[in-house]
Amino acid sequence: MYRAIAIVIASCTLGAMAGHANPLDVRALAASCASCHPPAASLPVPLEGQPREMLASRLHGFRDGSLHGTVMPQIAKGYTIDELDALADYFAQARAR
Amino acid sequence: MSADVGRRCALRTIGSAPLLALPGCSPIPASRAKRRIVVVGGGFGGATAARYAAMWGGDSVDVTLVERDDAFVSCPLSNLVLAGSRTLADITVGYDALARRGVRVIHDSAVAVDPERQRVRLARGDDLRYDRLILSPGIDFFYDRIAGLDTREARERFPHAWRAGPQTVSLRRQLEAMRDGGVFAISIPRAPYRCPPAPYERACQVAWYLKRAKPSSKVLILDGNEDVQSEKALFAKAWNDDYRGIVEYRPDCVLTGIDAATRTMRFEVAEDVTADVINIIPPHGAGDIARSAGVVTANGQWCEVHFLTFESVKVPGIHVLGDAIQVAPLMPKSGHMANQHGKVAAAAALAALAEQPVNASPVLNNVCYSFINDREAAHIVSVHRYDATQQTFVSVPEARGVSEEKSALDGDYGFAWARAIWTDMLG
Ligand code: HEC
Repeated sequence: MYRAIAIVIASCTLGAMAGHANPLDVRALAASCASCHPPAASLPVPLEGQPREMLASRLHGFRDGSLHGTVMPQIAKGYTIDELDALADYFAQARAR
Repeated sequence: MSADVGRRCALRTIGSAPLLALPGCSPIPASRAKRRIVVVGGGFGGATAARYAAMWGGDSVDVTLVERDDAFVSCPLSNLVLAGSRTLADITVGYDALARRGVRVIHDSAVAVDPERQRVRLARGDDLRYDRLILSPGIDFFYDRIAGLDTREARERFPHAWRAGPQTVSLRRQLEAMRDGGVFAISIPRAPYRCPPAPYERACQVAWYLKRAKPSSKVLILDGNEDVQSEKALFAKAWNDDYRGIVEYRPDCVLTGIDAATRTMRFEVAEDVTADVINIIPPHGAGDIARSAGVVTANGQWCEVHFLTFESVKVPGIHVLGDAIQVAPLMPKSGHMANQHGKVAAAAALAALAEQPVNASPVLNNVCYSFINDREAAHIVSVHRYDATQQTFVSVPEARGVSEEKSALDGDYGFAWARAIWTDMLG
């Protein structure tokens, strides 16, 4: 099931929270993750509704090399720290129901 | 965009009935007539574009997807069907969920595009009018570049199986019928072609089957390129270790002709080859409908686009995506990449209709999983960021990676990836 509602709410309220000029740009970034992490997918892991701090620390860890993985270390290095933080906010807000 | 828009969207969302068409965030005045987005081609690119356009556009747009087949059959994992460890049913997904998400799905062939009158002509149904057209036409083959492939019989006898479906099954039948001690030949066209690692994965998969079922047989890779095009070390290791004595690789074999009677392949320079089962992947380019739309601008083969929007450089109002485009440097022609294009194109089409600016810095990622046997795989991964100065996507060097060796973990993630992306595009 696609959590469309939760995601729409999150994408609309994020702008102010993450300090991003355009919430639609964050929505677009998150969509780039959804190819492998569609809402409620069991593997690798669902991202919606996870605690923000956990998401941010994993993403930072992949990016700085302290956390290992198969594809995430490379993927995280392709996004800026600001973008990863905005994504952590986004997915933490997009509560899977 | 201001927080104002955000608040309004949130309110409208909460007030509307759950799971019905949601307004998304595009601030299109409710009074304006619904705008029409037509998407041609329901593969990785087109299905994704249609789904995201409907999801993000909400009730401001009508989204129609034109797809000739009744169900989607995935090219990724289709080499495992060839090997027999998976069935065609395992890699087939219907379009019904997409229809339930507000996309009107029409099973018909788009035969012509009239960009002036903004219409798509269908083989059977009435013309479709559009405000924005998204073409995800996949590929069509240049059969005329290989002498002897001019008849339907020849094309069925030497299948490409480079679109998953009936040809995957017929190539599988030929492989099953082959005698032990036979040779299975794969002809690879010059790059760029659809999915760089896939021919080499295919060689592994056929070898995996032969090793068990017909151990004296061989797989002969006849590459139209001067070297392995993707993950060379990894594939070379598989051919040397896992499939020693079964797989043989020959570079610089540009196929020019096939003699059906003697099953002999002729090349530009290399010596003739005779084989028992011959899998010819002919050179290919953007699907034919792109020609009708006038968007095939590179070399008569691919479609150049503005990378911020995936709009054709030639014909305004038409977005092109997936394997059909002239790619940015180091951007592979893959299903995952087409899925990523689809989201940028959907957002850009909606922004154009709403007269809003587009995302100025899109980021795309790519992964291709190659299965070495029935459960172990390897991956190649990359991230591509839009560069405003160069006006194209640039691959981020530190985000590029390949598996050091095949693993069951990559295999699990490879299967999970397929399920995930099919859900993302069609679920
Ligand atoms: C190519 C598929 C793919 C893409 C694209 C992808 N991920 Fe992942 N993700 C994975 C896999 C696989 C794992 C498991 C760790 C690993 O092996 O790298 C994972 C793990 C994670 C984790 C750790 C979860 C946990 O509980 O440990 C987070 C957080 C995450 N991804 C976020 C993201 C974000 C945000 C994006 C978009 C920028 C993204 N992923 C894009 C495949 C992907």
